[in-house]
Parts: sequence; structure tokens; C-alpha cells
Amino acid sequence: MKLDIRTKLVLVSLGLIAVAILVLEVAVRRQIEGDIYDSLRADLFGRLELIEHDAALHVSDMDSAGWNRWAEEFGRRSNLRVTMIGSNGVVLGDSAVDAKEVPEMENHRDRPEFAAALRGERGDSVRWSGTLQRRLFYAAIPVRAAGTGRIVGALRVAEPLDRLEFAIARFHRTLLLAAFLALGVAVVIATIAAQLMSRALRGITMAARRMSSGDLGARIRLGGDDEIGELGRTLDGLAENLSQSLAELRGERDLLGRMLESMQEGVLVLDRDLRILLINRALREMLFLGLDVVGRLPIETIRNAELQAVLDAAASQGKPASGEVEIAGLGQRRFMVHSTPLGGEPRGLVAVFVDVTEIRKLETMRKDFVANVSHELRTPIAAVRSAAETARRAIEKDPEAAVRFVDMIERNALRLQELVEDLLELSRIESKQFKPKSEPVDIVEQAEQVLAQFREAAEKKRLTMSLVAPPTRPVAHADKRAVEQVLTNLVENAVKYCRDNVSVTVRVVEREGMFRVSVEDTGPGIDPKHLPRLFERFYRADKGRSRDMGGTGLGLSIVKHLVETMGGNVSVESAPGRGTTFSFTLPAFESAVASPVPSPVPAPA
Amino acid sequence: MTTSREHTNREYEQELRKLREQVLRMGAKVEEIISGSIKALLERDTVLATRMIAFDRKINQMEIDIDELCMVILARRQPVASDLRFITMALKLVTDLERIGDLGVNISERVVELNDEPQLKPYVDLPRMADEVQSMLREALDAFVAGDPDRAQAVIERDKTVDAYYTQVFRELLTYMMEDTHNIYRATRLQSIAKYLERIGDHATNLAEMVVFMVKGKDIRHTGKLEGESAGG
Repeated sequence: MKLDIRTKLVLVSLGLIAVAILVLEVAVRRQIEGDIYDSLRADLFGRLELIEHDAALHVSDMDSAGWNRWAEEFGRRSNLRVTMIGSNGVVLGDSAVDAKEVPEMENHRDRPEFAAALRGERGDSVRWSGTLQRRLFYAAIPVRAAGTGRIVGALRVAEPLDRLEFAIARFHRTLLLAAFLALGVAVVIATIAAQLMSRALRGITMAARRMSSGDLGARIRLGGDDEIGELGRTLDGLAENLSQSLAELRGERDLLGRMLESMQEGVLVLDRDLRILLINRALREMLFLGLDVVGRLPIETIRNAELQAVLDAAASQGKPASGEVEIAGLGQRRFMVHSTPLGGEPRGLVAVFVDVTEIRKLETMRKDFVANVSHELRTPIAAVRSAAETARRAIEKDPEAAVRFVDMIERNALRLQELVEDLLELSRIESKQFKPKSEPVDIVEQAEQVLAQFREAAEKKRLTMSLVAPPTRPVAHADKRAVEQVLTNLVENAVKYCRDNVSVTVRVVEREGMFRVSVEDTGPGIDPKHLPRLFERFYRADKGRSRDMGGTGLGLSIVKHLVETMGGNVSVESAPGRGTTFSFTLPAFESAVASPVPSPVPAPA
Repeated sequence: MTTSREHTNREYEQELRKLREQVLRMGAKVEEIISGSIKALLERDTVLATRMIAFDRKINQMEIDIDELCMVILARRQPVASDLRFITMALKLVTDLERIGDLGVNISERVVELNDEPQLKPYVDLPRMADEVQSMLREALDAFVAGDPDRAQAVIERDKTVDAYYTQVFRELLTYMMEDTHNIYRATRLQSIAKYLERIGDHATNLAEMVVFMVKGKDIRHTGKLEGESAGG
């Protein structure tokens, strides 16, 4: 049964009031009765003394009827019931009984008050009177014969206990009134007290409920030094401590979470059943996964046999395992996966994914480069060897032929030298130590020099060469030697691959603080599929032909690196049958000097 | 009594989970074989092809293990409804997966033969066809994981594309063969590879159909469509 505080308080006060009234009833009633009996007793014995005096006079000469009359007389006068008995206990006269009936009355010797009186003492008793049908107070004294003092009978008076009953009834009325009053007051006080207490408790309950649902900012802020106030303050303190330690924990967790999320490496954490517990942002992005994979098996979400093998190895052997895994996402990516069992309980597995796609690509490039270099070197060396062998044999029989083979040796040695020089040049440019000079370079002057260099070769192949440049002498901010090399390589290529009525044009255009230099030819052009790889080392659009023409396969690579170190960029446009245009840009000297840091987008004039 | 039944249920769940996991592992392995074989073809990598051929035994072992697990579950648990569908499907699924693995191995075998000779021609349609087939296989297995009949249905529709590729490749190889009899050896090997890819596409379609059956409890084999879905389009 659920009782609220008010009801409980009222019930408790009710109990208290009941106990108080009960105690009062018993104690006060007894006292009142005692008092009333005492006064009655004194009163009745006083009157008895008077009556006894008269009775003693008549003892010797009065008959039964006379006693009865006597008793009635005194009874009327004293407003009491008066009874006279003889020393043998026979009733002589009684004011409440007719004279005729007196002889039929039973012997009164055994009544306590008469018994006492006949022994010569005063006797009293409270009894229910069968004669009068009410409770009476009886008092009796002995009647002594005048002179002798011998007990000849006993005299008794009786009074109904009306006075007592009246007093007690009044007392009960007062008591009842007091009880009701007390009860009313108790209810009012209990209500007020309950109200106050339950308001405070309700406040605490509400605050505690908010705390338990996670709002640790909730405070009770209760005044008062009593237990409820204490409880409120304790709860406030508890919430304060909790929110503080929670904030600390949250801070730590956030830090760890942020670390995991901002890591470049993919992190995968599996739980005891090898289900995904955590997957960080990097890995989600690498594998195109959402957060919905949490709680599922890796085989369900990533489904890669090699990855599963690495995870299984770590899980089954309980020690770290690694492996390289190729996963198809948007394109194939290679990952180095290190998976380690989690220490402590509960057990699990953590796997770190490092994307090695680029590294592997670079490795492949390096391997290819070494293979290419060896191949490029091997061809002239083989030629030198075979020519040398033939020359030795021919030197006596056919000296003329021997000279031809020696020429061949010379030519191939020259080619080897070129190749090695180009390689050295390239490695010099690619190394970080290479710093192009910063000097004013007259582009037109450089172009004229380079064109002049190839004039003879061009005429031999019936090519026309021209230079188109703005009338203002364009001065670039660059390295003179580098610009010369770039132009040489480009023009040389054009001359090398073109023949018969093809025109080669060097064009210089100024645009927004940059110079754009193009070497255009109207030659055979290049298949578009080669264009993206044209600037790679040893890349050849037409393998057999370009080597015959004496290229090293490094020219364009050198061009690209030189231009880029000078702050420009290289591009190529070509269409088969319509010609090829190689262009590069260089910062203009004025704008570069005006702003110390050469910027690709100069401020508008 | 209750606890022992609960215990049994948990064991049963565990077994179903293991079965599903093993099917997926086998799927992953098969995918690896296919992608490895195709890579070996395109990059003319004989070493890789030889490694893929060696994987065949692993796939066969996986098939046997899964079959055994299915039998054990069927005999001991007497599954009903969707569990029964799942187990019977797993039995069929592994057969298809094993065939796909075999076809992947066949591709690698042809690759080894082809690598003894110079490349016949630049491959154009073959890589595209291979991409399509691989993606179908991946999608079919994803649909199985997700229990998604719509994705499975999409795989089924793509089979036509693969068939079209096959016809195209076949026709092109025919012209090479007619041009020069020296081409026939290599052209027939390439044609076989195209055929294997086409067969893989068919098996992927089978897988997808089984996924639909598992999820919807409706057999769409030989019709290729879920009833009522064509009208809803």
C-alpha cells in the first residue's frame, strides 16, 4: 500500500492522540472516582453519626414496624436510603421498602459494609443494588447500646452515584472535545509539514531524475540544515563530482577519437568476435565505407581474402601479423596492413592500414628506370664491341673497312657520352642542390642563337625556320644556360623528327607577366595516347625510330625539370599529321623583380 | 531445461554465422582469383598466373568444408523456413563459387600459354568485359551480404551486357584468325578467356537469383524476374 507523507503524518499523530486520551481517561477517571468516593464517604459517615445517635436511643423499645417508620422518616429527611439491621443481620427497617415486605428481606449480615459495622468498624462499599436497580454507595456504622456500648445492630445509608456519573460524563465530553481539537490541529500541521517536506523531496527527486537521464548540470540548491537539506547538498556534490570526472573522461575520449579520426593511416578495431568495433575516417575514405559497417564482420564489409588472412593470422596466433593487401575500391589500392591482438580484456584486434599504392608505383618507376638505363647503355656498348671485333679482324685485310668500323666505334662512344651526360644532367637537376640562377634573360637573343645552331641541319632537311616575337625585347627572369638548353632540346627534336618543307617556328608571347615560348612544327605529329607520358624518362613514342635518330630519351625530361625549377611549366599539343607544339612559360623579369617572390598570377597592371 | 535449450540455440546461431562467414571467405577468395587472373592477362604476368592456378586447391577445400558444415547443420538442427532456405542456398552457392574459381584458374592457364608468345593485339573489349564480370560478382556477393533482392536483380539484368561483349570479342578475334593463320593459336586462347568470363557472368547471375530466392522465398530461376516488379518500374 502506498501512502503519501501527509497521510502517514496524520496517522502517526492520530495514534499519539489516541494513546494520550487513553492514558488521560484511565488516570483522570481513577482520580475523579477516588475524590468523589472520599467526599461521599465523609458526607455519608457524618450523617450516619447523627442518625446513629437517634437510633441508639430507640434500640431497646422499637418493634419492626417502628423501625421501618423511623427509617422512612430519616430517609425522607436526609434524602438517603436508610437501613437498620439487628446484630444478627435481620433487617429491622428500610426506608426504600414497605413495612410489610421487610420481614421477607434476606439477611444482610454478609454485605461487606454491614459485616464491617457488626465487627465495630466503619464499612463502605459500591454495589449494584438489586432493590433499586442502580449503583449505590453504601456506608454503614455499628449501633451501640447507650451506656454499655455493646453492638446491637448496624445502620446503613446509601446514595446513588449520580454525582460521580455526571462528573465522569462531563469529563468524557471535555476529553472528546479536546481529542477532536487535537486531531484537527494535527491534520493541519501534518499537511503543512508534509507539504514542505514533499516539496523539497519532489525537487530532489526531479533533479535526481534529470541527473540520471544524463543532465548533470541539474542542481537542487536547497537551503536548510535538516536532513533533507543535507541530502540535497550531497546530491549536488555528487553531480558536481560526476560531471567533473565525466568531463575529464570525455576530454580524454575526444582526444583519442580526434587522434584516430585525423590519422592518415586507416585504423580498424575488431571486438572479441572479430566484428568491427571502430573504423576511422581515413580507412572509411580509403575503402568507401560508411559508419554502418560497425558491428559487422570484415569479410562482410571489405571482403578481401588477403586481408582476412592477415586478420586471421593475428587472431589465431595471438601475435602481430602483417601483409600487403590489394583492395578494389574505386581503383585498385595496395595497403600494408599490420594487425595486432589487443592487450587486456576484452580481447580484440587492431589493424593499421597504410596506403602504399604510391610507394609501389614509385618503386615500379625506379625499377623501370634502371631497366631502361641498362637497355639504353647496352645497345651502343654492344655496337662498340662488335665493331671493335670486326675492326681487329679487318685491320690487315681491308684497312678501309676497318676505318669504317672505327668510325662506328667513335659514333657509339659519342652516343654513350651523350647519354651519360644527359643522365648526369638530369640527376643534377632533380637533386635538390640544383639552383637555377636568377638573371635577366633576353629570350629572343637566346632563340636566335639556338636557331642559328641548327640552320645548317635544317637546310639539309629542307626545313624553314622562323622566329616570331613581340617588338619589345622580352626579358625573362631565368637562368640563361638553362633557357638555352631547353630551347636547344626542343628545336633539336623538331629538326630531328621533321623533314621536307616543314616549317619550324619559335614563337614568344607575353601574357600577364609571363612569357610563353612555343616551338611549333608542322611535322608528322604525335599520337594523342603518348602525350601524357611524353615527359617521362626514356619514354619514346616510336621506339625504333627515335633511337636511330640518336635521341637519348631524356631530352624532354630535362626540359620539364629545368622549366619547373625556373618557376614555369611545360605543355604539349599535337595532332597526327598536323604538327606538334611544345610550349613553356617563364616569368617576366619586370614582374619578378617587382614582387620578390615570383608568383604565377601577377597583380594586374 | 530452458538454459540447455538456449545454449543449443546459441550454438545453432553460431553455426549459421560460421557458415555465412565461410561462404563469404570463399567468395573473397574467388574474387581474388578472378582479379589476379585478369591482372596476369593484362600485365602478362606469368608468375601471378601460376600463383592463381595454385589457389584452385584452396577453393576446392573450402567447398568441401562448407558442404560438410551444411550437412552437419541439416542433420543436427533440422532447420526450417528461412534457415533451411539459407543452408540449401549456401550448398548451391558454393557450387557456383567453385565453378567460378575453376574458370578463373582456366583464365590463368590460358594466360601462361599466351605469355609464351608476343601479344596478339592491344586488348580493348576484354578488360571492359572483365571489369563488368568482376563487378557483377562483387555486386552479387554484396547483395548476399546485405540480403538485398533489388541489388541482386540489378546483377541479373547485367548479364546481357556481358553476352554482348562476348559476341563482340568473338567477332573481332575471328577477323584476326581469318587475316593470318599464325594468329589462330593466340586468338583461340583469347576467345577461351572471353568464354570463361561469359561463364563467370552466368554464375554470378545464378548467385544473384539465389539471393532473391533466399530473401523473398520466390524462385526466379529461368524467368529472371520477380513477379510484379516489372509492372512497378
